[in-house]
Amino acid sequence: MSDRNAVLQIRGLTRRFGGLTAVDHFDVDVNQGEIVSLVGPNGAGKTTVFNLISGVLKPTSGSIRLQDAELVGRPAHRITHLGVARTFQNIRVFPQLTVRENILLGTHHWTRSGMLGSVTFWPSTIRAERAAQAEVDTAIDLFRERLQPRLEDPAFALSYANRRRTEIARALAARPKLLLLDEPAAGMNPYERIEIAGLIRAMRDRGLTIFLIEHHMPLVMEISDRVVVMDHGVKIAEGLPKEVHSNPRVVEAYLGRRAASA
Amino acid sequence: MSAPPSTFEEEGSHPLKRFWELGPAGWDRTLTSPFVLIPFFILAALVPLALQFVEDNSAWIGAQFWTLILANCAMFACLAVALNLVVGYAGLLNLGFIAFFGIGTYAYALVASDQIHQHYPLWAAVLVVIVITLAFALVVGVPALRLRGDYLAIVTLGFGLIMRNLIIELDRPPVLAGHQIGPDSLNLTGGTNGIHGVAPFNLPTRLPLLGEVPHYRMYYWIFVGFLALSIYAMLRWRHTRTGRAWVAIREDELAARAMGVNTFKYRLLAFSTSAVMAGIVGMIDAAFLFNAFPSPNFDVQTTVMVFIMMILGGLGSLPGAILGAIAFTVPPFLLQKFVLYKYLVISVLLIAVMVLRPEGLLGTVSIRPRRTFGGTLELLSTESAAEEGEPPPVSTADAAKIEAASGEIVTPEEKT
Amino acid sequence: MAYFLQQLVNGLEVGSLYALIALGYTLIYGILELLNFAHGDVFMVGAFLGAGVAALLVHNEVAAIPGGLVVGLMLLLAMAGAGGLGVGIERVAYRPLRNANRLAPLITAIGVSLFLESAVQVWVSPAPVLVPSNALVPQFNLGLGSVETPLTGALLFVIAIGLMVVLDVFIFRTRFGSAMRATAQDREAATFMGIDVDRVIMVTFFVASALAGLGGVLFGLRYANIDFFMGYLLGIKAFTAAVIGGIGNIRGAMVGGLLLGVFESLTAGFISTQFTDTFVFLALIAVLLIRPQGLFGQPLTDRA
Repeated sequence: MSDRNAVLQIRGLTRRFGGLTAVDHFDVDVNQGEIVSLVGPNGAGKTTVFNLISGVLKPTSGSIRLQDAELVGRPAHRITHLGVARTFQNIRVFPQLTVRENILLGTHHWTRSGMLGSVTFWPSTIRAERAAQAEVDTAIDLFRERLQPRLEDPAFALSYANRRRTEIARALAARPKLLLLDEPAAGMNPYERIEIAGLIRAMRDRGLTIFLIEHHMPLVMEISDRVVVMDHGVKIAEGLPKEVHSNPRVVEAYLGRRAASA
Repeated sequence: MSAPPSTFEEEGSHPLKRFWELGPAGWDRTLTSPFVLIPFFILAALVPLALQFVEDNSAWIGAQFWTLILANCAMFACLAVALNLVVGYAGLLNLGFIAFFGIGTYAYALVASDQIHQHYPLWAAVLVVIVITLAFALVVGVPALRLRGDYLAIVTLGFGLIMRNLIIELDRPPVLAGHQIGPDSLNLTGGTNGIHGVAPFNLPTRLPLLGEVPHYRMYYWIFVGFLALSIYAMLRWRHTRTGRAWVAIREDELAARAMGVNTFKYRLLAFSTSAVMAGIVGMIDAAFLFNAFPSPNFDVQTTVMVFIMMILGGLGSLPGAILGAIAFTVPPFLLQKFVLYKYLVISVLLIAVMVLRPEGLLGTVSIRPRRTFGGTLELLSTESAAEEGEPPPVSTADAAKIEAASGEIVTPEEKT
Repeated sequence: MAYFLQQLVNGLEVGSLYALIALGYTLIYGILELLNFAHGDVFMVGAFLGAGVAALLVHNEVAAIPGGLVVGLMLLLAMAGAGGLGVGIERVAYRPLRNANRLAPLITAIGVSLFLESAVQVWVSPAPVLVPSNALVPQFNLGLGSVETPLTGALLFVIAIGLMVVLDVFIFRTRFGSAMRATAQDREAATFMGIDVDRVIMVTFFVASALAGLGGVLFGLRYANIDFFMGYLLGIKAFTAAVIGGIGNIRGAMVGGLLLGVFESLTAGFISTQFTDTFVFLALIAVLLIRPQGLFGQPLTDRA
């Protein structure tokens, strides 16, 4: 484990649901500017890890540190404020809001404007709204030709892929230090997957640190700096994509015991 | 934000035809533009003067009566707008809404009548009303807004009943476990009789140019003024950070939290703002009618009536709230003979609208397709379907590289 | 002490009524996650149906019908009528909105509640109606020492408890009951298991509303006075009872109903008759704050 500039540091993370241990003493580091993929069979506990990081669920025990701040015990909106933004496996855009308003929601936590300010056109409110609108422009930069023409359309009228793009743009507008992407390429066709791969790299090149869950192994192999493999809530392998790919425990987890020993 | 969608525009078609083709969401957007709202309010302010003119120059003596009806319309429109904030924007089912209106009437009545012998100046009375409604809103909201939505509905319904119970019983000092609290003469609320002799606002009755202004007309203007102010504030909120957060919570609470929205804080903000707005409307009503009554000021039927006004016009739609208020205020006045059937008709209409068109006339909030969204039913317009098919802006070299790296088998036919 | 026991007995009487109605709330909530605000008004309609039957049979005096038979007919017809009404409400007002946002059916439910109230007010009677209870049921008090209750009160308690036991058996021991429980747990999965969910929901509404109708008749016999607005307050109190017991939990609703009845009666007897309703709702809020899942409910997990 490298100790250079870890943005996210998870130690001994455990979460039980009744008798079931969904995540069991899970450790991981995600370093500044890295793309780390979290893979594993269905039900391995990957999304639970994301829910624990983003504060949707409270861990049973363990620690999650974002740079110097401990995230465990903080409510979800405080965690966003500290610099974690996420997307959801089953896309969760706000259907009745326009694409623009969806992305503006991303700026919610770092802009300051209240009810009185907006009624009185208070200068600080105007500045905050202007900054937020400007951020929309920056955030959709990577999706320019896709989202620009649909900016004023309600999100429910978008295609599946555009909803996904909107959700990612919304997360970008939150100016996170750490971006959690939960299966960004799920349900995408091969062309769109290529686009997503390029997008994730472009986001990293902008200085973002990315932690993603992905099922599509070729995509994971292509874009990840490191891969972490989970099974039954436990980390079973970690390393460069190539190392993990040939790790017998990983093959076993994916294909079952017999295939591995054969 | 206000740019009209130009995609459907046909060359040379009639503007009204184009307006019709915008659909409910478009009508709502058009009707909330300042170019419509400002003339509307100017016109609304001029109506009683026109009525006066007609009365002075003809044998028709119904002008005062019509001003009274319109004042009622404006009052209910204010309430529907305030309810729209908490239900339409924030998605919180506040069934005790009308209690806040009632609290406003009583709070003002207490400091502007002989009930407890207090006569505050207007500014102090406004302050008292705001503080008292806010306090009640917090007492209900802080515990209830931490719970799931259904419980909020029942807690607010229960709150409305408690308030009615208290108002009716507090015409004498409360007795708890055999101990009387306060002196025998204590009579806070006047019980079922309510509080009478409430002083109107201390406003000049003569205005420059207009001369003597009758009571009804003055309060019509006050209601219309407050309505304009509310709508202005609502529109500003809706298009800035606060309103976006409200709607986001309504749409998807979890996603809103993940975007850094403190859901409890914003719910409480919506709940108490709406309550204070209702309280101020109540205050104006008490000054308008010179009294405060337990009924209809605390009746659940009144809540339902404001609900149907809001829902007929469309949840989340402000012009819809005004339309709804007109539609459900004017007919009962004109059909006094059938007043017995009022709530029967209202309830049937409420059910019919909810079942047949839950979005209302100008609805922007569809409360129907929650489950199908993102699931089986894809709401693809022809445009987005076409967009799906078109290949992404990735060079073939790029594609080949990725396919090679991933080892995925893609035939050249598939690639083009 | 005797005063305390008397209050306790009164409380159990009212409590068994609350429990009967709370059962309906809990059944419907358990299966549809719908807060059926109209349920209290179904109870009211049941009371009026019973009163109507009684008025027909008692005042006509075509033949001297024994009081017991009249009461039986009242119960039967009120249950059938209220049950049918419940099914009709579900069909017209709730089914079209079954998959809508949670707000929509709640608003409709409030509309249905107001509709039933005003329908009875307009078409039956705006003033309280007298149920000829003394012509039907012998008017004597059952007593133990100084603690007494009229026969009708005992009847209310016994029939309510008896029916709850029957319902419990129906739900936990029969095939249809297990279909209901399956539907309550996961409607979609129940569909895949070959359960006719629409039928389950219909039967649930019928059973819940029939119980409310029965409660209405018993209420009329016990207290003799019924009016179009009585279901509203009683309905909310019964819902409070369901929440105290843990909404969706059938045995919880019974216990919650009895507890609430006793609580109310003791509050009225020892603290204040002026503010009983206020105390009941303060209890509701307290329960929701301290233990929102109720006494017997599973902890509620937020939909994630």
